[in-house]
Amino acid sequence: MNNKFIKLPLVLAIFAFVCTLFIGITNVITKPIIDDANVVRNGAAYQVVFGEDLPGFETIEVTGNSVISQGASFSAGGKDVVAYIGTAKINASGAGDIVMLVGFESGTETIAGIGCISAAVTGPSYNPMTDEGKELIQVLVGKEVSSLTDPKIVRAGSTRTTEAILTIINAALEVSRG
Amino acid sequence: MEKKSKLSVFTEGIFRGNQPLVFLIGMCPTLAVTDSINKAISMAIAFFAVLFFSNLIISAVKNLIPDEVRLPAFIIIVASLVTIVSMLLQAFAYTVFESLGVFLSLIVVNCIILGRAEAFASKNSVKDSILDACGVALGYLLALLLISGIREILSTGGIALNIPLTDKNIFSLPAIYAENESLNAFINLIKMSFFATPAGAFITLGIILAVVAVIKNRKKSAGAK
Repeated sequence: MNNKFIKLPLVLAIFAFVCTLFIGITNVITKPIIDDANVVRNGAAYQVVFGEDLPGFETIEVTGNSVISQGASFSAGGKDVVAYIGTAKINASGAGDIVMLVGFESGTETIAGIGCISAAVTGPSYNPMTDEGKELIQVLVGKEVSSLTDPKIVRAGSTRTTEAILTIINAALEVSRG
Repeated sequence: MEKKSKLSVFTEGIFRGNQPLVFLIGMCPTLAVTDSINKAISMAIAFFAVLFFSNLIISAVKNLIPDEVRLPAFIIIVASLVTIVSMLLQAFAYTVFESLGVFLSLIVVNCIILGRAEAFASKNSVKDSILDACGVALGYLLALLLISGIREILSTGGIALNIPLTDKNIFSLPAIYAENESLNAFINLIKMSFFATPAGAFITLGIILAVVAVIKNRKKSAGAK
């Protein structure tokens, strides 16, 4: 038997192993810094979406959901709110991740606040990070999720971004329902 | 094969072999990140880090990689380097990480990096490969600066410079003339925000390529005489 069948995959496996080792080392160094920065950024995001006078929030641990990474409960505008931060992909449009914050009025399925934390939108399509984009997404505030029959919350050409936003909203709803 | 001097290995990628402007490769990020000079500089730095280490590693291990699997091996190396650079930027330069967005990850499939790995680093010494990486990265930076400079001036009426890899502004022409009301009104009148759009990027690139072609043709006809 030709020993190339063993040698070639073995060489690639060794390369992959060594590279993974270096990525792992970098991850060990950078992960705590990235996590700390995320906590600060997420806190700032809660304030941007729910008002700067937010007294503070209690973090809710979310496990077992691939979209939602973090949750928090707090009082905003005289209402109890449960908010979630989720990440979805905008793959087909050639763009990357979108990170959204969605808050529901506690015990209901009504959106109390929504905002975009980051969006790797590459083309001229809808970008929820721009002022215009931020404004457009506010139409969802006060709506019950079950009433969102028309997902086209933004202008044409933005279907992928809209779908990604709805993925996060649905995942947040799923987590809040328990 | 003709042996090139160290200087010509370095300068080749800057002018005569400028990858985006002469060979027209790596155009996707070139067009996408050139709406501002700061983004262009950040991209060029990330690109340099990946190209430098990929050329270095590939030229160092070239004899260990069987010919049949050299491309997958190169991609493993480049992808790992991009992941590492991406993690470092996310940790230490988040604003840059965010502004480059998906184009940072797309360095993995940048033709320039794979092209230099295949055409140069896999056939030359470590020293020459490092010189080649520095020259090509410098040429890439110059090309990005040229395109982004034109686009930013035309679309905003001036340029704003940050300390590289941070969002700390050190110079902003629009901020300077914002203090003068009549000058500000004039700039607002003549600036063309169209040049910040992808279509503006194509038109800017087209004009630059036309100028490059004129220079090349003039040199050719002067050589023929």
